[in-house]
Amino acid sequence: MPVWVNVMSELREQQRRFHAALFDDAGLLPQLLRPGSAEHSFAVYRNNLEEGTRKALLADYPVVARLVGSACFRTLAHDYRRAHPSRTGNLGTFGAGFATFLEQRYGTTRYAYLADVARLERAIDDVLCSPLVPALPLDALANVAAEHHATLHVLLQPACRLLRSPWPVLDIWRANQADADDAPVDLSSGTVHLVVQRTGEHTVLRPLEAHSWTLLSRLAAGATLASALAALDVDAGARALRQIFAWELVCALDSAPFITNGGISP
Amino acid sequence: MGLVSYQGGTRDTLAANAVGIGLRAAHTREIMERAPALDWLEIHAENYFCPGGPHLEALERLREGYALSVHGVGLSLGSADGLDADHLAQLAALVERFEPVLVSEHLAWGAIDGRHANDLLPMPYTEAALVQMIAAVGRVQDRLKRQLLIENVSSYVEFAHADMTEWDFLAALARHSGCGILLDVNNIDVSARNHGFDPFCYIDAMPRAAVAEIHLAGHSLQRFNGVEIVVDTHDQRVAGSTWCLLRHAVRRLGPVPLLIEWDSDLPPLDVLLEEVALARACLGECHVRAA
Repeated sequence: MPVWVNVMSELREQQRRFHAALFDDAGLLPQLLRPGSAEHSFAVYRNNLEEGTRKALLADYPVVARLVGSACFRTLAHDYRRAHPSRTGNLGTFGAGFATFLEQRYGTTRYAYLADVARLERAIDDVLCSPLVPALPLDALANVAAEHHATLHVLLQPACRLLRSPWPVLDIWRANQADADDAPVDLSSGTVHLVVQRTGEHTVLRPLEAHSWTLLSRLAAGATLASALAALDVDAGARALRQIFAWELVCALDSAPFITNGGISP
Repeated sequence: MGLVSYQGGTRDTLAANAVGIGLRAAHTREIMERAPALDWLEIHAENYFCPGGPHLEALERLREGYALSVHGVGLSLGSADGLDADHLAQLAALVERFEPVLVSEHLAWGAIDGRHANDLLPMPYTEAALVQMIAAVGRVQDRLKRQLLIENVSSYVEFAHADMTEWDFLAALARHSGCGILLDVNNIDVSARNHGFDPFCYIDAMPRAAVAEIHLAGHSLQRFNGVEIVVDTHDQRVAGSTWCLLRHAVRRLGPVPLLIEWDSDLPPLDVLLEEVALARACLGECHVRAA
């Protein structure tokens, strides 16, 4: 067996035993660490793991944390980490599955809205980590040659996310901001459609009317402009189109024949 | 923002007596508005692993006036897993974009079998671990096409089996991989008090030419299961014992770019600037004595 293999297996075995004591509460084998206060000192690493992951989730999901309270959030963070340990060296990605975790835990309870609140908070984080591309004006459509109309794709800002929820997540989010008043939130107020977008350093959360949601969600799913508009009557389609350009959500126009012909846009 | 005077170097180089601070999001706007006299700013690499956003845009503006260094915390260099190619690619892209004067990582590991602790766990100071670290550092330097600095970490436990001391391990790593050393004197202070070794011996064992940066931060005494442990908390001013080690290091190594780190319970920026002034005074005092 090559020396390299022996070297790696020795180190791997030591690190596996260290991780087992850290993650899985396995006891510290006396031959792994120097005797003395190792059991007490190892508590620093266990505390770092618990607190580091809790703080990472808290930074991403402050409204969920406020809704459930600090003790419950601590338990949720612990259980989430046990079920979904971090898989990268970037702790910023750790909470990506938290909304799904909340859905699995609370989806059939009266706290089912928590998962969509988490999705809204994730969307806000996502747009704050996305580039802002100069928006196109509505006039740009007039410059598209007639032969490309049927295959035209409207590309949306990278720094925008769409969200639909049966819960009033925007009202819940607003009611849990530092400057919010104490107005109650009606959980039975019906489905909401939102677009979350970045404007400079800040995010804007806009409720969408049904026709704008239809157009935006179809465009985001890759539909051509023609097929997305076909789902709406002419007036509603025109209003929705003006709206998404006015909100600076459109950053490029692309024609499928050009995409399939070497990826060059007109 | 106004451009600062580069009393400690230029955007592309750092003078030996340069003093900087770790850039934290809560201070970014104030630094842009006030343009305090700092020689450089250090960022945590992973905080900028994103395709865009206000943090990256602010950093683009700050680099017009300040030299930058990139300090990685998540590469898990010492792991038997080897390097995460995607993480390394993101680090390389960041380095290429911002052209920092220094790039550093840690003498540590955090992941095994793909599971990450997102912490700086101590290495076993064995020949096997040294072989692993030399290979990993070499791969990073090859990818970045530049020297990497490796920082000693605070530790709370030691592996039972060791072939060498931590300071001999670090010196050997620098010798065999060609990496530089980021000497964190607070981490030496913390580990020395937890493990009972002589921190001055650690500093004396450092190869002078390899030490390219020094870190300073605060620590605290905490109780775990009734036992007091010195913890590297980065939540307060630099301790008197750490300043003492810094003076020894500067006398032994000569002036080296210094960086003040503060990560938890972040104070007003002026508190960090007071620590910077103390560091400048320490560098000046030790430099005069050495001369």
